[in-house]
Amino acid sequence: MQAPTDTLRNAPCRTVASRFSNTPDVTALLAAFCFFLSAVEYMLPKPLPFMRLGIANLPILLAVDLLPFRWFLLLAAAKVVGMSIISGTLFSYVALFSLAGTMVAALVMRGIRKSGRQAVSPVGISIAGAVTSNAIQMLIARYVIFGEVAWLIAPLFLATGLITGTAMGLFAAHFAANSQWYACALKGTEFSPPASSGTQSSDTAARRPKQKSARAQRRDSRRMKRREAYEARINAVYSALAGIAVAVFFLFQRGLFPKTIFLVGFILWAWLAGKRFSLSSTLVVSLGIVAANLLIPSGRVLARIGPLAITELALIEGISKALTFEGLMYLSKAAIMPSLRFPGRFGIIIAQAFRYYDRIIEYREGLRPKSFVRDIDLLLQKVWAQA
Amino acid sequence: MKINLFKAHLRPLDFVIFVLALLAVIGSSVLVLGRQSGTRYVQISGDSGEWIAPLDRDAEYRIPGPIGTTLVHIHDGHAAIVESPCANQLCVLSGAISEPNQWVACLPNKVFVRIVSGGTTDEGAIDAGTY
Repeated sequence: MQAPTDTLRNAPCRTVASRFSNTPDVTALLAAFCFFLSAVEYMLPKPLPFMRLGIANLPILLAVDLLPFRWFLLLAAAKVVGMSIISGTLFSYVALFSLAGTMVAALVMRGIRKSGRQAVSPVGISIAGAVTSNAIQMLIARYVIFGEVAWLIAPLFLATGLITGTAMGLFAAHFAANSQWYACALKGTEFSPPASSGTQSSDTAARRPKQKSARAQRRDSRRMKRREAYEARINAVYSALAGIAVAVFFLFQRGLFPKTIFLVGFILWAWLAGKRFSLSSTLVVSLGIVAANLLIPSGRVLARIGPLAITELALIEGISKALTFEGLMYLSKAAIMPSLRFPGRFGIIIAQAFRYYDRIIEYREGLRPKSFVRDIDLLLQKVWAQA
Repeated sequence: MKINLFKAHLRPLDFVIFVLALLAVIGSSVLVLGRQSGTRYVQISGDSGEWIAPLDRDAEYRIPGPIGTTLVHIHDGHAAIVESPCANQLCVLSGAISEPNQWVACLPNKVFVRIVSGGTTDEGAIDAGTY
C-alpha cells in the first residue's frame, strides 16, 4: 500500500484529453465523496445530536470553482438525495431540512464566489454557506415542528454555523492547496494513473473500522439476513411508492392513539426490512420535541416542575409532533431501499455516484486522522483513476 | 493534521462575512431575549384547577365552577369572559383585557382571569383602563 501511494503523490498532471471535461462524471465523484464524508462524520463524536461539523460539505466547497452552475446545483441536490437514500430518511422531515438548507446555502456560496471573485476565500464562502443553511433550517423548524420555541435556539444554531463554517472553510482551503486531484481537476488535465494500486481487498471483515462485541456482531448478522431476505422479495420502486401513499395517510391522522399505532407499525416494518435504527435516540429526540413544546404553556396546568408548567394542550401537541416526526422517520427508513434509483439524468448521476461510493468504501482503510487531507486526496485519485 | 491560520490566505471579504455572521448571532440573541420578556399569557384560575394560554393565540376555554361553566375567549391579543352562569354578569360587562396585571373575575363562579408577562421585569405599559 505504501509504494503505489508515493508514486501517486508525485504524479504530475498530464496534458492529455482528460475525463475532467466530463462534467457529469466529476459531479458523480464529488457526490460520492459527500456520501462518504457524511459516513465519516457519523462516526465522530457530537456534543449535541443536531450539531454536526459538516465535513460532507467539503466537496461542495471544492465544486464552487470546479463545476458549471447547473452541475453545481445538481451536486448539491444529489448530495441530499443520495445521503437520504443511504440513511433512509428521504421521506422524513430530516430530508426536508437538509434539502432546503443545502440548496439555499449552495446558491449563496456560488453567488458570493461570483460577486466576490478573488476578494473571498473558501473560508468566507464556507461561513456564509453554513450560517445560511442553519438559518433556513431554523425557519423550517419554526414552521413545521417546534413552533415559536424554535426562535429560542436560533442564536445557538447560528453560532454553531459560524464556528463549524469557519473550521470547514479553513479545512477546505488547506485541502485545496494540498490536493493533487483538485489541482489537476482545476486545470482540466489528467494525472498519471497510479502504477499498481490494484490491491482490491474484497475481505469484508477488514472494512470494519472497529471490532464489535460478539453479541453486536450476531445482532448485525441477523439484521443483514433479514435485509437480504427482504430485498430479494421487494421491489425498491414499489416500496418507495407504497411509502409515499402510507405517508399521506399517516399525515392525515390527528389523534395520538392512531399515530402511535402507525409509529409502532413503521418500527416493525423497518425492523423487518433489516434497517439499522436506535430506539433510544428516538426517545431522546421525542423528549426534546415535547420539552420544546412545553416551553410555551397552553391549556390546563397538569403539574409544575420548578418554573415550568406542564400544560395539557402543549403536552398533547408536543407528543403529536414527536409521533409525526419519528413516524415519518421510521416509515422512510422502511420504505426507502438502498437500491432505489431515479429515472432521468439526475437518476443517472445518482447511480454513478453510488458506484463511486462503493469503490470509496472498498479503498477507505488508509484513512487516518493524522494525515486526513493527504489520505482523502489519495482516495480521490485512486477512485478516479480506477474508473 | 495541522492547519496554519496565517498560511490560510484570508481575503478581505472573509472578514466582512465573518463579522456579518457574528452580527447575526448577536442580533438574534438580543431579539430572542427581548421577545421572551414581551410574551404575554392568560392565566385562568378556577375551582378545579389552573389554565395558562398564550395571549397571541386565539382560543376558547370552558372553565367549570360551582354554579356552571364560564366561557373565556382569547381573540386578537385580548382575553374576555364572554359567557357566565352568574346573576350579575359583571365579569362579562368588564370587557376584554390585554395588558400585564389586568384582570377580570367572576366571583360567584370562582373564576379569575389575569394577564401575566413572560418576563420578570416587564410590568406592562401604562393603560388608561387600569386606574
